[in-house]
Amino acid sequence: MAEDSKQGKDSLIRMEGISKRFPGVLANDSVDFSVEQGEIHALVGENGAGKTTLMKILYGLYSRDKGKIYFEDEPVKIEDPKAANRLGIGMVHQHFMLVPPLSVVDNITLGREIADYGVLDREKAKESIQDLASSIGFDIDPEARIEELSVGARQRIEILKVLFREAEVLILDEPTAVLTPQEVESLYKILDNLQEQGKTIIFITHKLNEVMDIADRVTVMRDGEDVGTKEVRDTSKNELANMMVGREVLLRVEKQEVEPGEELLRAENLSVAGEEGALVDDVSFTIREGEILGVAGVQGNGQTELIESLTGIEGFSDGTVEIRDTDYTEANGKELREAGMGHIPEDRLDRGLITDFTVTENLVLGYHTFERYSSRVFLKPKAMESYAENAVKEFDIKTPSTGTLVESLSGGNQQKLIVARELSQKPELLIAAQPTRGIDVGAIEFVHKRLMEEKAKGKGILLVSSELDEIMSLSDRIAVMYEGEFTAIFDAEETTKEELGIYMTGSKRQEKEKVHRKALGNLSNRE
Amino acid sequence: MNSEGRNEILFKVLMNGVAPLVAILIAFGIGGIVITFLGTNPVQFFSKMVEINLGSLRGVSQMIYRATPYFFTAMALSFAFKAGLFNIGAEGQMFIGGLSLAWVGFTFKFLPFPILFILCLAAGFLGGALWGAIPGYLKVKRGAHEVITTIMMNFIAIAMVQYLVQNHFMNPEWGIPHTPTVAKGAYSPSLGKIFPWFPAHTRANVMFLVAIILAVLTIILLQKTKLGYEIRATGLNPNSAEYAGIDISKRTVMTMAISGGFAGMATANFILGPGSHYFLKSEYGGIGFSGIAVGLLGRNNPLGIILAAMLFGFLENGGLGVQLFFPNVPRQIVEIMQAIILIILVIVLELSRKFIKRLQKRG
Repeated sequence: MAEDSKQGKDSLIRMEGISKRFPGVLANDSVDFSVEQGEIHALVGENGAGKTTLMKILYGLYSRDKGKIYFEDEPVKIEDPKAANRLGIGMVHQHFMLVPPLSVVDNITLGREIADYGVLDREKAKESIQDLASSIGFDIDPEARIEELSVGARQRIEILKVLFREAEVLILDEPTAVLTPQEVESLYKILDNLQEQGKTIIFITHKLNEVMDIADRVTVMRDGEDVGTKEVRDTSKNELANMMVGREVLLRVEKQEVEPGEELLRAENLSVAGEEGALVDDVSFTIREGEILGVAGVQGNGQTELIESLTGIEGFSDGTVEIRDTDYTEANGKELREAGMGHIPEDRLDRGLITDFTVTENLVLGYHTFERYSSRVFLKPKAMESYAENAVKEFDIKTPSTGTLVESLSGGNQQKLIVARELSQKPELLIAAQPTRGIDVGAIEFVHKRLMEEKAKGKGILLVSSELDEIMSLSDRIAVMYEGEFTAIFDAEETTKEELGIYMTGSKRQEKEKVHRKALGNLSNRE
Repeated sequence: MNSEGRNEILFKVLMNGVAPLVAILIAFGIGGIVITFLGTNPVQFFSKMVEINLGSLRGVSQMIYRATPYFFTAMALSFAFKAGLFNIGAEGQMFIGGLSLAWVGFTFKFLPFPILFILCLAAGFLGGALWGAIPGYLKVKRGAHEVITTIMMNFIAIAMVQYLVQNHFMNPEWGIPHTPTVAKGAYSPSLGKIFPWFPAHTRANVMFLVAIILAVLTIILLQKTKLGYEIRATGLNPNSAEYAGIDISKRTVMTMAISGGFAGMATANFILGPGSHYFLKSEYGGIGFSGIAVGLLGRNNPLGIILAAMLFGFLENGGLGVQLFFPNVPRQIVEIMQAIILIILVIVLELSRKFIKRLQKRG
């Protein structure tokens, strides 16, 4: 509370002693928060720390139980989003509020149409939107329909929507959660431009890199309380992580040196055909015992297809897969699981979990046909239950009981559940796709530690991630996937994030034959 | 966390207990107002209805007899619903199943009870299952939405059954088109023959017990078996089910078949139970569609469905009986009330959902 930085200038918005109780949870516990005119202010904290609640109170979506809000030092009541809009406060939500079949111009003007005597003046609307767009530095076709646009473009439309309503303060709720690295870059540019125009930006996130990259000041929340506000230039990722979690956090796991053992998986010339050319194009690699092969790449370069085919959900159009010298090219998910392949899917809600199932039911998903958990006809509830209780304990899944529906767990605990499920079956080989996407620092640390332990036990891991930090800190070898191909492969210690970044955008590639041989382990790094 | 648990329980009580009760009460209220306008005292009217249904075991028996078929068609809807499918084709599946079981009953006359009885039930199940599996197959292979195909299949079934009865099974000398009667071996015994305390020669029959057994078996299937786990997984999240190595195409066809099978047994109550013992199409119209309402009212829970079916039996049987006493109130008042129950239920469910959401948001 007694932060120096607060005393300096007059703040534009000041929230004092904000409390908000949901049944059984104190989401905000007398939180103080202030924002200065023209700054980019990051609001960070783990999932459930109360960041979004606080901002929804500021935007008038939630009522507050206690506390005061001042705008330009005047006490204000913000009872609904309309009142917030009148003060010039706008919010870009995590889930976009757009009408997909309508055009950009219609979406932006919706509810604020430009009209003469009741007749829409679309030309004028288009013009003002184009002006607005170019003022913050991006091109836009006002007649494009939302459903034709990428996620990044949709987000920019949301931002335009808020600007169109003459917002001076923009609240962005985890804006990068859905974006590719390039889209994040262009979002940064837009935010810079907005700042230049004198706008004030509040940026909710739990990614510390983003705070360091873009924010001027940062407020950290934990368990519904504000634990402090810092100037970004005076703090570090480590300090912020410790503030967020409330204890020392290791942002990078210690890499364990393990002598690679026998070859576990051998994939040769894998291809997946798509409607317009191959989605996976002639990819080969091996994974040995005690080895982590990282696959870096911007989302949408064939990683999803590679994983889904490798794990038996879809099929390959070409190529062979061998596990310990046995052919598994045509195997389905069940056969692969029986062969000892675990799979942490990239989308936990859409692939990895059934949210209306209980914790126990989710912990056997995919393994429910195993003899341990079912006979020919019946499930074995006792065996399932005792396994579930152990797994919840061992993997520190925070849940009221094993009978709780997974829907009510936090994202981090849902992800821990998947990790628990896949590791509990003692797989020899683990396909881990985006294993820490959208989870908070503490849970990331946990997942990384578990993956390292598996490696130390001699398991082989294929790690696919769009987080370069994750790839760098865990992998032994790193392949870069671009437009369906492996375009480069490195030993982890011989490359840098910057170098990988260049290959990820496709501006450089290694000689194909060399990548091929090295990925198959036929070429040592000294050659 | 704790409060979430409490909210969950509150939500369940609201959705599964309070909402249906409120809907029923409001329906009786509105029914009462209409009856008052027709110049009849609603209290007298409804007490007469209660007396007819519950005043004697004979009345209870009649009520059960009317309720039994609804159970089967409602189960058809609910079972498919568990797998995320909307089977609107119970009507057609019921007709196909009904004709199939009647055919076995009047064709294999030499077989004794209970062999023929069981064979008839199996035939009803298989007939309905086939009719249900076709839309399932079309969905899996061609992506045809099951709501559309099951509705279409209803028309085909109705016309086909009509054709078969009139041109193949019917003796032209009979005034109304119906099949020959089933053999004695196929008869479903009256409950009075099984329970000595139950009045003899009433119409409630073994099919009611079959319904209860099926409800229990369904709960076991869905909750305790591997197949049930896979059916539920497919219904709740087909992508995750696919990830788990479940053959979702196979499960979809199978679910639709079982669902259709339930509907296929609906008319056994009329054909095999005490009565005319033949398949008479005109007697069953609408039972498949009303099953949708009963399934919703029973909240897709087998035990809830038994209760909801009893209510529909109560209204139907009461509506038939009460005419004698209050000739100025048309029998259709019962159908109006059934419809009101459904409409109000949907509204109350939506309100409960909003109420819970508000609780979660505003605190």
